[in-house]
Amino acid sequence: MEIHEIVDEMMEEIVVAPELKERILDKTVRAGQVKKGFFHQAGGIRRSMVLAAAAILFLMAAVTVTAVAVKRWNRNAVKNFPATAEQQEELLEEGYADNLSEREAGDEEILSATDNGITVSVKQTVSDGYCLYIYLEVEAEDNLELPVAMDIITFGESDMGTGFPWTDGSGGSRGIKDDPRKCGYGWYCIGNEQVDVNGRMIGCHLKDIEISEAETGKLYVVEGEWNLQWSGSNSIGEKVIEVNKTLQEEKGETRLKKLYISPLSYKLTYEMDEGLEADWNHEWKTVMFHMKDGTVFDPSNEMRDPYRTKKQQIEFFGRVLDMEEIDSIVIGEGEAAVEVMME
Amino acid sequence: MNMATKYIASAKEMDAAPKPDIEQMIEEHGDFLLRFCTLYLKDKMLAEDALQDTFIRAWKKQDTYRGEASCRTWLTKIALNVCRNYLRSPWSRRIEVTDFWELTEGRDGGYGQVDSRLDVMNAILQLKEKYRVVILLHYYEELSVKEIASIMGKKEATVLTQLKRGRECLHKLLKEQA
Repeated sequence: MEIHEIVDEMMEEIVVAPELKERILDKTVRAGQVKKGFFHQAGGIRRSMVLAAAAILFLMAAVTVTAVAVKRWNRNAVKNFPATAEQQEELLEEGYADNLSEREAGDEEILSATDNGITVSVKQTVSDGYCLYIYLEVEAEDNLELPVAMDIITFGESDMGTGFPWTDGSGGSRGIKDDPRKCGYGWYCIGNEQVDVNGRMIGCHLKDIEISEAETGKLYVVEGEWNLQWSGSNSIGEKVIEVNKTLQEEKGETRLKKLYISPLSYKLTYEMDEGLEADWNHEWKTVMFHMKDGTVFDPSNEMRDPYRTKKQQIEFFGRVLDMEEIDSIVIGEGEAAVEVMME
Repeated sequence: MNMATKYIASAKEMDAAPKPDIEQMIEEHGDFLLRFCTLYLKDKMLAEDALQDTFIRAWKKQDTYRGEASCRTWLTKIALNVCRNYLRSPWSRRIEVTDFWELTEGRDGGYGQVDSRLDVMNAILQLKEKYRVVILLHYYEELSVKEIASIMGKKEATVLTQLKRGRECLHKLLKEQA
């Protein structure tokens, strides 16, 4: 029996309830009528009250903004790489994050490049010693007839001169829904060894953008070349834990050595038995972060695979982890799992 | 004028394309999408919210639907993005449901004889998110690797690898359950 048959049969009771259907219709096809009716019935006084309340809210928001000038990441980047307001401020101050959309280009920096009617700009970076996240925005000129709404699939050819050799894009069209001619693109880079990019010029050469039309999935290629470069920024400090424990698995032993943890990633170093080394590419270690509030953070639940070699495994969280809140780290699965307490 | 312009469809073509009818879409694809969201999010209540958000987005974007992809694929892509946003939200709670009956509120009546099917459902729930989603898209939605790569914004090679690993994990889990 095929999976789709099994799922349909086993979930035959999971159906759209009439109330849910009504709720959806209220919020879609009937929404316009409801809004119009409200203001018709509201009349003079209620309408004035609504407008007055809106004015008060606007004033309150303005006062709040004036009083607290807090540093933030690029707002579209945050939708792609989640971080609370507090975490954004902290990581900017500690040098992990750089909001390039908020500053002028320095000497030799090219933060934005245009070719063939398409502008590519670097807006935000988030980086520690082993991982670098780059958020790019791609924008089409107003008079350019691009597909109605676009998703970036990938840059046909790319050379990321970052010092982090292993790279992967993570799709586009994140958070710029209001503007179909704009698209965000997150790029994850991971390195074998610790990389210090502070003060170094990071170069990014992109050739030909592959675009998927958001609604149909139809593919297009926009030919062109875009060269960006900017002065790098990262924080290479991390917490180092001496693990010195052995993970006893069916196929052999893995001697766990050190765990390097930052708010953005971890690196686990180890030595494997020969039997395990043969299959190292598939046999990565599960690393779970048990938090003080009882929740468990499993970085491999994010959409990226860990980067691993026969000697180490590195995983980019794709979000910010509060290191103060980590209680313990569990490496491996089942009875063989090893627990390391966060000191 | 330039390379980008030669790929677009004309405004006339867009006007001619049939516009989706939300009520009809709920009738035809609602159950399927709700099941997809439930298995992806591992939470029935959250899945109902996701379904609602999916149709609200589809409603707002209906003018851009050109009928070139199947309606179900178009809606699946929207649902996928909605679910991903839910899971990526810093406020989202990590859901560790691995038992199918827990997900479906303990309705196990009548399924006593279908242990192997239950094993498959439990194994799907135990898969990591990245494998669960490609397995569901390929084997439940029956999308091709190319279509999955397109709607997930991933390379085809990445999708192939994740499908392979997802299948391996499924086999391993089913073997353990047996």
